[in-house]
Amino acid sequence: MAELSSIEQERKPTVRVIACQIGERELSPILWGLEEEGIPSEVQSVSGGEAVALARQAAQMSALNVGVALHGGEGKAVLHHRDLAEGAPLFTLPLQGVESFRLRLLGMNAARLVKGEPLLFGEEPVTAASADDPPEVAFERQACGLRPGSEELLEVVVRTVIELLGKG
Amino acid sequence: MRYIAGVDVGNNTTEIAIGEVSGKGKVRFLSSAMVRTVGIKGTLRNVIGIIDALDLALQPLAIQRKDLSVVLLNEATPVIGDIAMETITETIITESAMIGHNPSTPGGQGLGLGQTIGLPELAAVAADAQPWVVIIPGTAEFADAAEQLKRALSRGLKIAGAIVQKDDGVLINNRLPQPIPIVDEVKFIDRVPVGMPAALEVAQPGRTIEKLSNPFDIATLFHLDPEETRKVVPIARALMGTRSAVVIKTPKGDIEERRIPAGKIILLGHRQKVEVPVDEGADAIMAKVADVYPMEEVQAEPGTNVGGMFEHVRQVMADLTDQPVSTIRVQDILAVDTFKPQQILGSLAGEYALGNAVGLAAMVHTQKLPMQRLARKLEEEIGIQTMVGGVEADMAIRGALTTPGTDAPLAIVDVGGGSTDASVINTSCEIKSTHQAGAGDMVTMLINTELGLEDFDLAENIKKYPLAKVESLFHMRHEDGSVQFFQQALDPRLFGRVVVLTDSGPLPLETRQLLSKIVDVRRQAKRKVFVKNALRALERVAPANNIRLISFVAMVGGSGLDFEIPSMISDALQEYGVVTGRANVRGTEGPRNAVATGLVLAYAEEFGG
Repeated sequence: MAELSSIEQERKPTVRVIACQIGERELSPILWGLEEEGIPSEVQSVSGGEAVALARQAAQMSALNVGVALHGGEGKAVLHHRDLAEGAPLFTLPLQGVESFRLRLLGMNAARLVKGEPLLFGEEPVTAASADDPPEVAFERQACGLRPGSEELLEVVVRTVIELLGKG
Repeated sequence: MRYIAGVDVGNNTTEIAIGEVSGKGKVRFLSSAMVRTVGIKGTLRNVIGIIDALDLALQPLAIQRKDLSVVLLNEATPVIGDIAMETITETIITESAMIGHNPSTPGGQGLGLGQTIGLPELAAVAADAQPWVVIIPGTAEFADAAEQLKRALSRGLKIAGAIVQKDDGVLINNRLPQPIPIVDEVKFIDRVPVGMPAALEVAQPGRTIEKLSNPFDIATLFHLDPEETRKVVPIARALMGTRSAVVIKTPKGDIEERRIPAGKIILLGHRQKVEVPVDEGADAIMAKVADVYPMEEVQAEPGTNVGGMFEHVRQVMADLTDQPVSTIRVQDILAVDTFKPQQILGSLAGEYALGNAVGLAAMVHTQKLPMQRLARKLEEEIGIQTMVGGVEADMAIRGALTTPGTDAPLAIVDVGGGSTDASVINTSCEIKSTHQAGAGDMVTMLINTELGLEDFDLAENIKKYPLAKVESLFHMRHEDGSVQFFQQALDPRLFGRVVVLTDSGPLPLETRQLLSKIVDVRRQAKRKVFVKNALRALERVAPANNIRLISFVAMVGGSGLDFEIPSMISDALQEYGVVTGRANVRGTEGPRNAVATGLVLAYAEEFGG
């Protein structure tokens, strides 16, 4: 941890992001989230350490009291606050197959934690395609209302499958 | 010596007082209990709640249910109220022409004027004096969008601003050589018309837009004639107070503030008949109500919201009392001016405009509720003599008089869910009572509407409990400014939010409205209904209708326990020189148990042996 202690002297008014064995793909969205919310950030790369402990350390080094750690080895992103107990970070996000907007949300929440604004919880971002209801809804509703005998049921299932295929 | 139980079945709670009567006027109270009323007041289902409450009261005493001599029921006043809202104005924008909303982080700042164009089309246009407002759909990544804008700028194109679907405003702006105003989080971006003149404004942090909220500035930007300027007034009004906005001039854009034909109310008094259109507002209606008093019947135009409400009140009361609907009469109404945030038809980002509305409460009063039937049923169930013990208002006042420091002439005020009741007792022990339409339920409706919650339970919680703002993971600031710290970190879902401090813990509000604004709406609603009705009710029962001639006013019932109603009513009554306070029945019960206590006292006074 020698590389951390040298920086510990100067606590800067930024959200500290510590990256350990991590690529741009995971790191960038976190920084964009912070940027969109207008909070400055500072990235530091380390070669080893444990994700939660690194996040906690990042929070301690930040004059804004908020730190993020991204750990490729452990496969998680951790958001921590200086006032929280080390073992109890605010959010932990598994990196395995994570969508980019979830990482961005984590960055936004880091910024919102500084600003004292309500945090965001996993809302899908708006896209042009999300306008219509998915066709499954109609099917589920129909299936739930059923209490027929087995023959009828089979018929309904067949009909529904045909309907579904037709729609797809 | 006899054990007597007084039972008060109310709309919300069933209360019991148990006393030991040892001679005429000699009574010693042993215990009290309170449970939630089961079923609608006056129906046979009430028995379940009464038996529960009896057992609860008897539990600490060394007596059995069978040791009771008499159970006394209140003669409940058959009063119910209902509420409705009649909207008077609404804003309709056909062919979307404005976006005015408050994304938390718009980009850049300033005012831009240009023609709308899609991002992909930008590469195809030639550089000239024409400024553009670029529409950036959610499918475009911000870095890519910024790159395309930069390329266009370097070709000499003028870019006045951008409308962005995703929350990317700051990110795009930060990547441009010069800042431009950007409005982001525009949900229905595909509805933004292309090739139209648009004006876009983003205010600096902490400020609200100045130009697009002023009809004359909009007229200046778009060269509007006086007739067109008149038409943009609703837009300008809807944009007031936002930090960013877009106004687009569409050729067929038609914006109007429509007045909805609201219903009429017909007030029938002893001597006169008066018609008031609801859209004249609450003051006009209430002035007429005071003129016509005492009222015999109120009718409303069928087919309107108000008409529907009157039908509903009559129906419920008819069912409850087994009487035909035609014999049920509405005897009092309370009208309150309010406003209702309404989603603008054809909006692009879910914008709201405030429409004017009138809230109405109505009250129905009939012959006796079937309390005799309830008494017979209770007697069957528990095998103890059960009687209907006396008029509720009289009993309440007897109970309230056990409050230390009170004396006749005393008035009591009971703010319930559906009606506000007042009674007064003079020095010669004559009692006069009144029931007014409008109470707790109406306050809940006003809060629900004015904050646009569409959640009655949440509005009820906002009415009942104080608010706080969670400022960090470990502390919250209460609405009075005091700070409370916590040992354990608070739920992250509460962080940064306004919360209602309910008995079961803090409840976060989704709204982005300021705490002070919510407190203001709540207090205004209580003032408009509770304070106004308390004064109205006291005036009707006071000697010579003069509140100054009452010496003491005691608040009874559940509303007396509210965290701010007693002080509000107290403030209002102070100028009349009346001693006002919350009753403390028998010196121990607070504002509760007045009727149950009164029942036992009345029995003891008539006790022969």
